[in-house]
Amino acid sequence: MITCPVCNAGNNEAEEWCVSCGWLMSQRAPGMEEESDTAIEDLIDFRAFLILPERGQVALRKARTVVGREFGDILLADDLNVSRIHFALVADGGGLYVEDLRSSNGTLLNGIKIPPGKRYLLASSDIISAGDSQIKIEFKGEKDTEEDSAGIFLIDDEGRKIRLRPGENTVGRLPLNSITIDSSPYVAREHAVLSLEKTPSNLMFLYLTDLGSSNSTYVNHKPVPAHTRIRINPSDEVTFADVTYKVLEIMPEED
Amino acid sequence: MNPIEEIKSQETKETSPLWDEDVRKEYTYTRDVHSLEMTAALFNSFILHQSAGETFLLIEFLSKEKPKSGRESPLNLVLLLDRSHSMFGGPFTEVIKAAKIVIDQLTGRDSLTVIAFDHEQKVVVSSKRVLNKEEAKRRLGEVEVLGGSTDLHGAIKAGFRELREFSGDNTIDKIILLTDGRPTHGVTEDLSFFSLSESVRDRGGSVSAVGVGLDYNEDLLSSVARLSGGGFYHSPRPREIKKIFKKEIAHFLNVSHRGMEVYITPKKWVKIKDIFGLPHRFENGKHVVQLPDLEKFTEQTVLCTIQYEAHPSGIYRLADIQAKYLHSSTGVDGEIYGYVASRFVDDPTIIRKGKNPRVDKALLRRNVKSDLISTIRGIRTRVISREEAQHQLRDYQRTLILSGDTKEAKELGEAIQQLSAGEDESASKTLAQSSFNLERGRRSASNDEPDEGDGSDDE
Repeated sequence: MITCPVCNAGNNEAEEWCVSCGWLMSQRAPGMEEESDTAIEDLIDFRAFLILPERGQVALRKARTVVGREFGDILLADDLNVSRIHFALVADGGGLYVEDLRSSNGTLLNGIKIPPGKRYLLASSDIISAGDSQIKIEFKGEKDTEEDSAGIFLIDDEGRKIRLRPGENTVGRLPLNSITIDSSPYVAREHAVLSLEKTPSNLMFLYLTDLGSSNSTYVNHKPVPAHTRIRINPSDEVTFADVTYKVLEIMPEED
Repeated sequence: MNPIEEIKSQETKETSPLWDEDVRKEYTYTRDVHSLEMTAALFNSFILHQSAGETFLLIEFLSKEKPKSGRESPLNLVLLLDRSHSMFGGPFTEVIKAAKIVIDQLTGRDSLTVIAFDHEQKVVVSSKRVLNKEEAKRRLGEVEVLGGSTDLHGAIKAGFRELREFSGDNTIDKIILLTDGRPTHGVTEDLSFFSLSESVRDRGGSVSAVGVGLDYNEDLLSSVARLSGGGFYHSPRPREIKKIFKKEIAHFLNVSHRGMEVYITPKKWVKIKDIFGLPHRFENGKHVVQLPDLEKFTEQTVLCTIQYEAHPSGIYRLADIQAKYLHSSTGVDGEIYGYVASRFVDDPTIIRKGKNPRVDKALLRRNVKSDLISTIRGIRTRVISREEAQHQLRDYQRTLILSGDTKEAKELGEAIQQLSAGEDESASKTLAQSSFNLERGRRSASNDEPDEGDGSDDE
């Protein structure tokens, strides 16, 4: 007997299609897309690990790692509240993201349920919850995580530095965001995205996209159109509703 | 250039190849058994994953048996001829002439029953083997118009009784009902007619109804024909009866697959919502659609709306399809199996590649049929003016030509002319016939019905 990965019905081995839901049995299970030829090292410049319950540390080696109870690269076979295919970890554009694969009980990032099919940037020490299992993310060899080391930062009005990570940094009131602004009720729950992108010649460019927030995003006090990607330069001032940050680039020290 | 040619030439210019050939090969299921080809396809082979919705399923049956000179199955024919007072004179003379032509077309293997009816039924000819054609014609010549009211239900019931009497293992059992009036005697409720029609169908027969003149009830006659799997014809002038009889007998003798039933079994997360125009029932988790007899080199379509729940992305078989039939030329019961599949995709931009133009055309046809009913009602109730009705009909005519239904498009042309001449009732009946044909889903495989001539050569 073969179990259908979609509806869980038992099928004879000769069945081409699942007798219950009609799934074509010869195709890859949902969420198990074609493997990418790109190595994870080409996508992120740090090493990423999962700290799994009872199993300890597991290194991520693929550009896309699927976690599930029955299917995927990492199996949580003992947790019945984990779906057969639950979530994916995707390395892309310099960052590592988590994406819920329409699991039955959902995926939580730092205690907040993330909507399915949408990617969220991860940071070291983030906790992903699937079923009853909690998985800690750890990054090692991440370049210059110290506050004063080279990189691009947002500086708030009290002079605090927030490092922008490669990839998409979401900004908003919800704790799910990469940069959470809970000091103002005028900031939208998911307000904007700051994308830090590396060019082939290793230059870093920062882009801003307002996600249609009610109270808008401003660059140097001028409102930016919603859903439009605009380039941000060092020393620009970016205002999310009524909260303003200055963009600071710290150049690497030359030997 | 006539209007039909003009629209056809526009069609050539406007056609764009939206349908991706690879998609067609992958998601259109075609199977061929007993010269019967079954093709099943969705309106769009791609469906957006993780979203519930509706789409259309088209199942086409094509008889690939080419018309031959000979025929295999004997015909068991019952003619029900209205001889009530309104048929007096010319109309009944034409009916007798037409019936005599029918006799000439039969062979010694065929059975024939002729019943003349008004408020009662008289069996004029009852012959298990039509060996003595002259005798049968002589008896027909003796039938007189007596007058009185019309017991339509009693006539069909008597015809059904006679049909069963001569029915054999491989006989083509057919009733042709000809009337110019409404039921005024005996059972007159529509529901009784409907259940009687279904009984005829269940016993492998059918009733083809021919309405003569302008006083008959086209809704009732077309329903009797539809529910029993027969044809429906409007004959505005008695002279046309001969032509219709000839055409209908040709249809009967051309049948290649009979008693067709299509079983559609939807998979999990899929439901059949509507099945357009054809009698159907639900049993043991399957939708059973009853199809009229399939003639050689014609096609018959089944169009359904299906509802689906959200599916994870991937390829799914959405429904299993099975058709059972009697293969006329061999007398063997046959079955054909198939399915319809779809790919649930997460990229909305590729969905347009999966659109199937054949299903699109079938939908156009169905929409015209629905609109036609509104126009017919509008004409009858005078809610819309003649000019407005003609304008609407020209629109439908254009759509029908684009969908390849030139025969129905020509009929709409006739109705437009009838409206121009102030013959509203005649136009309404012509349109009822077009609506019936569109609903029935039977089409000539070549898209052009053979021209039956004007009947003048039958004298």
